[in-house]
Amino acid sequence: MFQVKKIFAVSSTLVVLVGLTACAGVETSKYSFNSALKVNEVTKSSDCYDTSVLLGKNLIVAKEITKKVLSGVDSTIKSEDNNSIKAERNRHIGLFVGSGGEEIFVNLKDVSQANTFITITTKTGFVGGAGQKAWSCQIADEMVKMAGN
Amino acid sequence: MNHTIRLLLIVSLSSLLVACSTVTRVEAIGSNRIALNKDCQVSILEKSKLPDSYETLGKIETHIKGNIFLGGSVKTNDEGYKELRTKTCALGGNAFVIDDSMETSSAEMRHVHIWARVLNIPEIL
Repeated sequence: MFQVKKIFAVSSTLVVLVGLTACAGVETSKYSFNSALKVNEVTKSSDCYDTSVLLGKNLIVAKEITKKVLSGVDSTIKSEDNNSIKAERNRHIGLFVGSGGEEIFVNLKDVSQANTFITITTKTGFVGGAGQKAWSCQIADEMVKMAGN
Repeated sequence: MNHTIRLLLIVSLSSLLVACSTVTRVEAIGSNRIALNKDCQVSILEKSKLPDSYETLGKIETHIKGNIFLGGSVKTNDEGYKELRTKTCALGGNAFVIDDSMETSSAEMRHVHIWARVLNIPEIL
């Protein structure tokens, strides 16, 4: 009986540990542009791994705002082209839990001279997953705030 | 020997776990002014309430991070303003205006990122 309890305890601990470090999030957004979207209104997934916004700025300005917000959330741009940016949050060693390392994917679509449709997704990694979080909601909210300034 | 290595490791780890750290980029614009004392008089202005006449002396982008478990909680209007005041005095300005700011947190770390302009406003003098 004691052996069964011990095996159960060890298994439970392993499940919790795997859960804390498992990969989460997506690289490709489920959201796409449609004409019913309102300008500067953020659409968020419940877990904040995937968001979209129709930003009331042209593509060039929208990309500038995106890069500014990405540096604001303490991330470094790893690659970019005309319509997409891939960034990674800087890693920090903590006293108990480290943080950083999340990958952020931003896609920008020029839908008119005044508006850009943007999707933001976050992917958390296997290592250090416990200290990572989804950034898509905060990034989208800050982009709207900056676009309004 | 083992004791020395252990000591070096502790010192190295301690230096990585500092409570706060600040990275600031300053871009001077326009006429070079003489730097003022670190604790010079600085006004904080709102973007929407700038006076008609002023000179922009520089742009500041600062990122301050702190570990809450090491007493390094960071706020825009505490550590952020302190850093902006110091840099404003160094550029010879008497005011700054915050263009954008962001506060974020992740696990133990707190971050503040501020974009600001350093100004010289004649009417303040």
